[in-house]
Amino acid sequence: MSTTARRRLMRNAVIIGPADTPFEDGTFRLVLHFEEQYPNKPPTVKFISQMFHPNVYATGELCLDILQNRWSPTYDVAAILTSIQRYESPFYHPRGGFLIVGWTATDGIRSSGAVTLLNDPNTSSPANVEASNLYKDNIREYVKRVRETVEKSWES
Amino acid sequence: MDVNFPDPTDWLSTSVPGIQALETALSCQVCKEFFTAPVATSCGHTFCSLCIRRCLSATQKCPTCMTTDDESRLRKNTLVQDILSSFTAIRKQMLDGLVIKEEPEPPITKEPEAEKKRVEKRSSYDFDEEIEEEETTNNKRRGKRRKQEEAPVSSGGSSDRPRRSTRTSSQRTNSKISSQTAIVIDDSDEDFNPNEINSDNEFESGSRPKRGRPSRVPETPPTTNLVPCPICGRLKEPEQIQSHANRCIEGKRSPSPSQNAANAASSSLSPLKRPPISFSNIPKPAATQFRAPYTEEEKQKLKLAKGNFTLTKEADIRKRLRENGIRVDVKGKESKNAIWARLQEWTNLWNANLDSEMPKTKQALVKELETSERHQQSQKPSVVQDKEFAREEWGKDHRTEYENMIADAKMRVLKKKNEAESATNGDKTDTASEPPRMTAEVNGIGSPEIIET
Repeated sequence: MSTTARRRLMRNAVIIGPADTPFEDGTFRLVLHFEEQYPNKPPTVKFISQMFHPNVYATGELCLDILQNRWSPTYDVAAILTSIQRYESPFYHPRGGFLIVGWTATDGIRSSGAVTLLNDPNTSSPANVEASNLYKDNIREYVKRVRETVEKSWES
Repeated sequence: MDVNFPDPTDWLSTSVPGIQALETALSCQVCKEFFTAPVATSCGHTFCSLCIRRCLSATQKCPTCMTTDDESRLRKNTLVQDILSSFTAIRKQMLDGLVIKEEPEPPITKEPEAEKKRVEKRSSYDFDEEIEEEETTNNKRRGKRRKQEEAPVSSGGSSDRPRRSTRTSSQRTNSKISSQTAIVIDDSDEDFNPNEINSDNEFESGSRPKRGRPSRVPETPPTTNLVPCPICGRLKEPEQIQSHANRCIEGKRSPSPSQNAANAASSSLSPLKRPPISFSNIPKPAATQFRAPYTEEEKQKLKLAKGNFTLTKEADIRKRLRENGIRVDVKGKESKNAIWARLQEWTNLWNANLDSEMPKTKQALVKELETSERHQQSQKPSVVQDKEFAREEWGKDHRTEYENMIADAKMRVLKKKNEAESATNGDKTDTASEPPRMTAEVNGIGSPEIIET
């Protein structure tokens, strides 16, 4: 390997859907890619699992402000993953990925004011218009569609 | 716990796991390692000199509280430096003394030398391709630190002396990710320990960037125990003050008057922080990569101004780069943006080097700039972001990895639930006895995927 060899850091991660949300018990797979400029530049994060969420594009890309204009170099993988999912506790996985497992915060501190995605969709500029509309107008159908992705997440 | 890579989580397996929070507080929030030449922003947050300079170049905002700030307002945080050096000086001793003996592998095998190198941490960057190769192939993760361990053997003195605050971004990426992992584990570990919620600020930092974290603010570390030396005025631990004052009287430290006044605490670190240097062991090139620390007057004089992109003429940028011996495309093929970025990075490296306890020579800095630029130029856009990126295939290719993670996660959830239940049932299980298991996870960190192109 020469000095000009490019090194990319790829991480796989799994987020388990937060309890008391339609995403509960889902095992959603993600991939994170860190570039040379990290941490001055946010990593690229993509869902590998199919998602039905107002802020997740069909391609798996996330529309999350901390991964864009509100990025701070102090964020690490744990911070990113916990922003994607609320009430969770991050773990490092020995086989090279990060994962988040369901854990309800009892301290009452952690959950407040967090920018989160799975739990608290932002429907003002939806990445998935259908999901956004259903979330606003037909929550029952929204939940049904989300549960479908949850079940799918168990299979693949 | 990996004895080769000291980490705040080391403390979780001791009788005082809370020291982990102290050690984390002495770490830069950007690179997650012990501060290198700590400087404070005008909003009161402390970072490594190079880390914050790079951040401010990119966004002009404090990474912690997002307040607008400017590089010119950075001030050296001598107090943090002093606390850090006191801490690192006694770290091994504390760890040895506090480790819980029932552990099968107590982390006391650490060499004193390794401990010192931890202090100098991510400092070393080798321009030697051979070394780099060694790092990238053998030590895909945490290569930097291990390299330091190996350095005296594999590369003679070239890595023996630390190069501070000068790592390239690639190394930073590496080290950052490895250090994050540790913090992630901290969090999870503390997560179910209600007594330690307050020290859990790493977690919060991600979710709530707007909120200050008092434990990280330099004012809060326990400073009341430090006593000023009657001779030089530096803050010292009460136990150390006697011997320190003696040394001051004997003139062993021989601080220059200017350093003494303005740079009080920082220069006192050097005897603690620097590994003992035996010049007979060090090949000439390594020794010449460093110079004596800059005095305050020199710093003022040599500090480079950032300048303004629109107001600076392209010719001036080229001139300034050439004056410093930095490669510029003679034919003017490079865009103004490209050479401006180079000048900015140079300014960051240069100014951070002025703050360093072990400054590098100009030549070494120039070489470092070139190396880090080569790394960046060879980088292509993210595969993940690529429209061609085949999610399904990726999912299939990494299926086992994902499935293992899911299985592991579920197991942990279950375990936590059981623990929580047993805790609420009045069975006060001590969560501090948990760390050995966590430790195993730290050791087992898989290497990140490295894709060469």
